[in-house]
Amino acid sequence: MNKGVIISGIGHVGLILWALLGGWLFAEQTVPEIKVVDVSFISSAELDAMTSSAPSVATDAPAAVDPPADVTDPAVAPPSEPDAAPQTDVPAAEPAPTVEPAPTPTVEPPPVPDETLPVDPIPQPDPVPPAPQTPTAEPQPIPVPQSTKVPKPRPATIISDAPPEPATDAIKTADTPAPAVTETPAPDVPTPKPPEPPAKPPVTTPVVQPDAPTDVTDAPALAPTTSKRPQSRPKTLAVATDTPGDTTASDQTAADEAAAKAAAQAKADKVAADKAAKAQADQAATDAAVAAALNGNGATTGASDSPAANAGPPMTSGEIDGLRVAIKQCWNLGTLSSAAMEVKVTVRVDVGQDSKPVTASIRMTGSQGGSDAAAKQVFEAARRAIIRCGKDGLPLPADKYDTWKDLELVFDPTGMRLR
Amino acid sequence: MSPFRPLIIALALGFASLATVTRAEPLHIVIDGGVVEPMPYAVPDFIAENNGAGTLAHDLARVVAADLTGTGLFREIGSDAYISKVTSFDAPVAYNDWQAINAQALVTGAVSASGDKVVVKFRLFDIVSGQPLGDGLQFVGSAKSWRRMAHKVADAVYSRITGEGGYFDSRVVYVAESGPKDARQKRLAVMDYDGANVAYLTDSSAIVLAPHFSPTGDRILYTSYKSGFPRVYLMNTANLKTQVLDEQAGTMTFAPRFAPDGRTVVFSLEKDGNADLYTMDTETGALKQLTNAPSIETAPSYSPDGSQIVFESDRSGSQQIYVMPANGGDPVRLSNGKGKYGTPVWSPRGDLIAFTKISEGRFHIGVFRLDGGEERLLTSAFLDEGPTWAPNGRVIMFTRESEGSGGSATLWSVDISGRNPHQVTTEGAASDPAWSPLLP
Repeated sequence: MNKGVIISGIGHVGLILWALLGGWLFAEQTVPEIKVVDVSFISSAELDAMTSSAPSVATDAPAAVDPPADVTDPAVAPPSEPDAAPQTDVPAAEPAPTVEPAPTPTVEPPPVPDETLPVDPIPQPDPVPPAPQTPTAEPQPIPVPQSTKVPKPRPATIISDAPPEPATDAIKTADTPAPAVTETPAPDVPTPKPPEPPAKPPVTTPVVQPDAPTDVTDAPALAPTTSKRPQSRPKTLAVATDTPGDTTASDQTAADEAAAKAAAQAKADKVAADKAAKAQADQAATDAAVAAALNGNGATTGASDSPAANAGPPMTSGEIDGLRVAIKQCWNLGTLSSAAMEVKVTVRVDVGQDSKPVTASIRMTGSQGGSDAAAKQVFEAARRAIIRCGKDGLPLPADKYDTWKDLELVFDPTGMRLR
Repeated sequence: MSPFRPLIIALALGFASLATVTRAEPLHIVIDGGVVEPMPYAVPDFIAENNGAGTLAHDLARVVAADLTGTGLFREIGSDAYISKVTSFDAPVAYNDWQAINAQALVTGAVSASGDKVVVKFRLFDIVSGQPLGDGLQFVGSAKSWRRMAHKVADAVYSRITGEGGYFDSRVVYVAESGPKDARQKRLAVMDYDGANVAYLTDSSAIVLAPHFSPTGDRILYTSYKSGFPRVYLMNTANLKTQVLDEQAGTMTFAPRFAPDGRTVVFSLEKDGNADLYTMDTETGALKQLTNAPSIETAPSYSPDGSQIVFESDRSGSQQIYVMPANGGDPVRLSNGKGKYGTPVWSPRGDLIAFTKISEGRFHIGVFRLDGGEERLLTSAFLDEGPTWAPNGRVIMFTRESEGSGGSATLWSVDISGRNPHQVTTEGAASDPAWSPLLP
């Protein structure tokens, strides 16, 4: 678990604690309620007593209280005068916390990408041997099946043995030699090997570790940093990339066993001593809940934990929509066949810190709804879209690299198929 | 209850949310749409590998470009925008230069000519991905067949990019028309799909109608008034010999179409004022009646697997489209929209049926699913009729007749999406197109 997540977690815990305990520990001292008395029933004695007690009220307002002489005359002193007292230099009941200027984030140099996109080196194909001369079977006329058998019951009548004059050319046309199609073997087309990524340049400056956004988490965690909104997940195309690990499984089993044990114990104790058993059961249930939560049972999936470096703050719906719209603009469906228009493909792609997709990482991880050939066409179009859109970088928030460095894109053209 | 219980539970929930955050799952986004626009591509002139191929090098590239651009799915980038020049077929591709002009695909080729022998080879590159798209191919043929070789190159390019078969190396048989509207002369003609290489198969001594290729493209069925009455004839395209299929006295036959087996022919036979559907075995001459109704049944078309026949009938009181088993049986009506429907043609893919629709004084070419659903009208004009499918089931060609006494018939094609309608260049007026299968 990385530092940022830990700090974020601490912040969360602090927030929850504040929410729960703030009322106990930090609530301001309750001011004694002001006794409300009906004026019409105030006697002079009561008025005297009331005015004589005024200083005690004024003690809360230590400075510049009107002289009592002003209030000795009940006729002159309106009852509202005591309310005027706080208008003086009364300090605020609770001093505002000193707002320390947030540490200005140091402007770091641009991150050095771990993986530099190849600079489109011109492939140097191996010398292509001359295209193998296919069995140069001389062009043969289009074979003419001799299928014009005359029907026996009603022999066909030959209408014309001699074709019309211009039709002679037509015969020649029909005899147009069929070009011999030769698939040149692989050597004919040099398949440029994907250029090896250049070696990492020597690091002369500290490489920014994007997964440690300490500047952000160092700020007081007064608001949750994670959205309660669940991430959208594929329902049918999701490829199980994370399988529950043994550790998680064992942890979960242990948690389950603990919960079961606690429950059993609580049941037994209930027979013995209801009161004690109830308390113990409560404690056990709480422990089980904590254990389950720590083991991830509270998540919606059973996926195993992964290196925390891959986790990051969630993207907002606006940011996700921005990426979606950008890729849509690059995804050209015009050349897809109607069969391909009924296929959904799932594509995974790694994205560098410069928000450019790593071309070599683009891969199809699943498809649904059509043949492999159709899926391949959709994938090729999707790959072109990703590369084209990412040529100058995808529209992604730089501070959420951990969230988008691994993209799973489901390309679904079915909504645009011909109907 | 312990006063700390809510606190502990809250802590547990906090840790649970924290655990959720730390999961290393990819950011999952659904891209549920895109844009539909022509793909920009470049086809530099092919490399002439010897002196005899100089002109061909340019012409081949132009035909390939015309084929691809004509689909409406591709947009050629003119040579004046090129940064890189292709000087050798084996030279490395400067992907950066082609990316800079926004090319997404590049076709390079070379041609050599020796006597009557021409060798054409090509490569296709995915400029965006920076890699070849498929292997190189070469074609060997005669000098006369250079256009076919260009079409084959275009077919291969089209197929690799779209994932579906091409249709450029194909022919179209049609009725060439001449003369005024009230005294039209008609003769059968055949041409490349793009209007080139026209050849006439009959003279204009008799009116001819509705030709159709056999599944192997070696024979043509058509209707001729040569005998004074409409009759179905079968022509061998190799020697242009023709034969009449059925010649019963007092009958008329018309609207013929081959079954996928290439042996059976289905057509309408009119007797005593009533037209029904019949099949004939072209080898044995055996005749079989498929329908027996007092209405007019005509324009039959087989499904690609040969198990069903779609046809038009006015048994309901108006012209509508029905489907029935290939050996006859109870027809099921498919067309349910407003108007009249006719000339149904089953797609070679088997997923759609194209038709002519007459509605509110306009003619339309349309398609619907095999159950008659999802009807889409692709065109609307004074008179559009007689659709025929390209071999790959992506394009439909049809006849468009212009209005007025001076109007004439022309051939048009349209993508099944309704996009890219355009006129097919022909020598003079033309009607009743029928697409051949892809040539071997």
